[in-house]
Amino acid sequence: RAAPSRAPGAADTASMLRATSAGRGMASPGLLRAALSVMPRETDAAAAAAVPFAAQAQPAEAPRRVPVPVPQAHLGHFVAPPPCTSLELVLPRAYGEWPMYRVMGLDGHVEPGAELPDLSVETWHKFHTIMLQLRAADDVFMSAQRQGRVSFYMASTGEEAMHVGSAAALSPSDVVFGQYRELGVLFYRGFPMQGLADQLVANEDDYGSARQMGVHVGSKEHNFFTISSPLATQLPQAVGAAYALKHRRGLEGAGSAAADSVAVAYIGEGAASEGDAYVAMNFAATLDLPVVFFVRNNGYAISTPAREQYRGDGVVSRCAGFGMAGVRVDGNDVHAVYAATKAAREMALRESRPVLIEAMSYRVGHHSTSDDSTRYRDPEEMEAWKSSDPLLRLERFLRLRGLSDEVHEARLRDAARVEVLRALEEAERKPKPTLEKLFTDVYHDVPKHIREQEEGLMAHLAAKAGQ
Amino acid sequence: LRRRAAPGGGGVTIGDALNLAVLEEMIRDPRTTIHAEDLQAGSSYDIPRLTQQTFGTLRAADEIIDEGHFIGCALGEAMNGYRPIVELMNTNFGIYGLPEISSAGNTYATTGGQFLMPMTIMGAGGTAPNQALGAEHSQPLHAYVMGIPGLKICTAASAGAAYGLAKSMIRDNGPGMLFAPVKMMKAVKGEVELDTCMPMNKAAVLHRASDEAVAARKAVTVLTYMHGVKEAESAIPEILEEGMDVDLIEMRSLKPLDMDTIRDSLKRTRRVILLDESTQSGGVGATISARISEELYDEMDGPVVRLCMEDAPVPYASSMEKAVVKRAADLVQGVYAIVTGAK
Repeated sequence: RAAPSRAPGAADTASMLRATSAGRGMASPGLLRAALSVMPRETDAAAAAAVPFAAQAQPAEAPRRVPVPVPQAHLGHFVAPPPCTSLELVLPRAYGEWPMYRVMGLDGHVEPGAELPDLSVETWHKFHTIMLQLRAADDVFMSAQRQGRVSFYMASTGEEAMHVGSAAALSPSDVVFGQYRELGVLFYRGFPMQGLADQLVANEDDYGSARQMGVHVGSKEHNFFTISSPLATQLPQAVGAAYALKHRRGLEGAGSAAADSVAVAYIGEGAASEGDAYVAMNFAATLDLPVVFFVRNNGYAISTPAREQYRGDGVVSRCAGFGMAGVRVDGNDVHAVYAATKAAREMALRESRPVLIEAMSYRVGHHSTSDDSTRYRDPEEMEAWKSSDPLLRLERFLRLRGLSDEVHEARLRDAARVEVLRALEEAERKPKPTLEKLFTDVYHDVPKHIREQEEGLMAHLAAKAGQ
Repeated sequence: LRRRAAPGGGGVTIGDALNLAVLEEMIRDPRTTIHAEDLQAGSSYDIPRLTQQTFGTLRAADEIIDEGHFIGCALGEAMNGYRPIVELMNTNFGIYGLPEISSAGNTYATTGGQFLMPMTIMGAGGTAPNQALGAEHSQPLHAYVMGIPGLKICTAASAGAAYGLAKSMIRDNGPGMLFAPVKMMKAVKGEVELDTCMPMNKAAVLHRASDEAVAARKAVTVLTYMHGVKEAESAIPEILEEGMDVDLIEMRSLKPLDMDTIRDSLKRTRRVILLDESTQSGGVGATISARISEELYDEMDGPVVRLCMEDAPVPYASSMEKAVVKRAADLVQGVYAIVTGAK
């Protein structure tokens, strides 16, 4: 008999067993002996003869396979994934790159094979007007900040099509949660320019009672929840809103407003790295909620470019992992954005499931008035994107159809600028909120300790003034 | 930077002082790393400036957006022999990383002392009077983390303190948090004591009341930190004009509290006022006030006076904000009230 090369002998096995279970006082001597008794004892010839099948010849034919039922319960609630016999570590690019849906080319023509959404001329004009208003607002308020008239602003230059295209596909009863760069959505839904000016100047007319920093607008009337500074908090909240809609749909029935509404959450590709984004998407998909996630991939998170934000194919590629439907769209093509949002909304409603839209765009301006993007961006890069400017593209489209010309555009631009300037001046004329406003809305009914603090503060200030 | 930071060199900002400390410590110990959002562009106040260009993208990581992630990541590094520094762009966003900060504090104890946690979290934050940043950029994270065991919490309101404390904290083998005042990061300039580490458990006496004022019972101990330091210093001339005086003590170490320095001052002045950059409920001042009342009761002739923020979100509009965060004028009034017996 050939001696085994170095198979663990009974003695080794015994000492191993002793070192582990017996050493920790876990196995009884009886158990240990029983365990030892099933170990192969190849050094013992008599024992070798006693081990079954050890020296027998192989059977003439391969043994018949007896089917073993797959225990469903053992593998969990899902059907067992199909087994395969070739081992492959699948690289992410094998999943393919998500294509970008486009209707209108950079030159304003409808791409061959694309279907132009059936919208009225009035709607196209509304797209144009709102985009111009937003651009005028960006221009005026950025300057106003440099002049010290408002203390903070964030421009949306280059992203206007994502705002108006998506907003046009929503209904007023849809609940909208923005990140901070979606003012065009608000304007499209009817929020007045004066409301923005009041918020930026922080006067007493601000819907938010002048508590939040600039562009952190909100309006219950327009179903647009107040912007919150910490990133991605809006996503779990939108999912919660969708959850409430689902409740209400059950209670109020098929024809109700709740049954015809979705929650919409906007987020940037950088903020999509926050843990909250991950959990929101997982929850929405797992709980079958009517949410549309609109990801504005504008290339930058302050100074961090998208390629340093994630390794995968953008954000939409994560959909497969969540079991969620998704589409990638040219964010600077207002028609494509509209079509995608409309389709996503319909699917979310009809099937009570989330849909993610990743709109590809470019942040032309600085992150905010506290940023100087020339520190980290090539001026050439910023120039190159101008050819994809959503506003110019729409204007080319309109001109091709005889719906606009230079004169008309100039007139609209001037009118927009005048409106913004007037709103700013009006906002500056209005009084600032009084000190009492500090203590209201901390709680609905002012509790004793807050009232005491208020009285204390007022007395303190009066004494100070009296000194 | 060293030339400018040295005495006679013109001075550096708090951001620059922290940057200098970071760069020096990263040179000194090759296992020191730094994590920050927008690190490659210097973040908001130049704290991580030039780290990536000098040490590469691995040691100086421009972070993906999630504070919980990069604090947690730093935790993992720290337990595996590295010395991570985390810079929070604004300490308010440290709230995203509270589970991780809590973990950091607990680690040495919960692992039975087996794993060191040499992590330093630094950043600008807090609430200056009239900083107009809104509620969510004005929260006192320093107050929220006070109760987490295992952490050392320091504040710096000058280039010198920032530099010295940062060096100590980075070299320290436990988790530490260093808070700097957001509105003073670029405005205030000062010298640093090069190559010197500052003790992390000592308060600094910035101004000592004259013996005459103390004898006349017109001196009060002022305890403050962060923006409060600037406010208090600017209040001193007016206080002196009124014939009063103060022992101005910058806490510098919030945890542990330097009760000895407070005691020495209280023995002279017999009264104390806190200029506190956190809320009435659960704030830093609340902790200090409680301990003084419990441990130094016999040294005082009257109760602790605490100037702090009300229990309301810090509003954006100046008309409301300026009253929330207590400032120099409030301090003068408070000292006056104490000395004249009104409080």
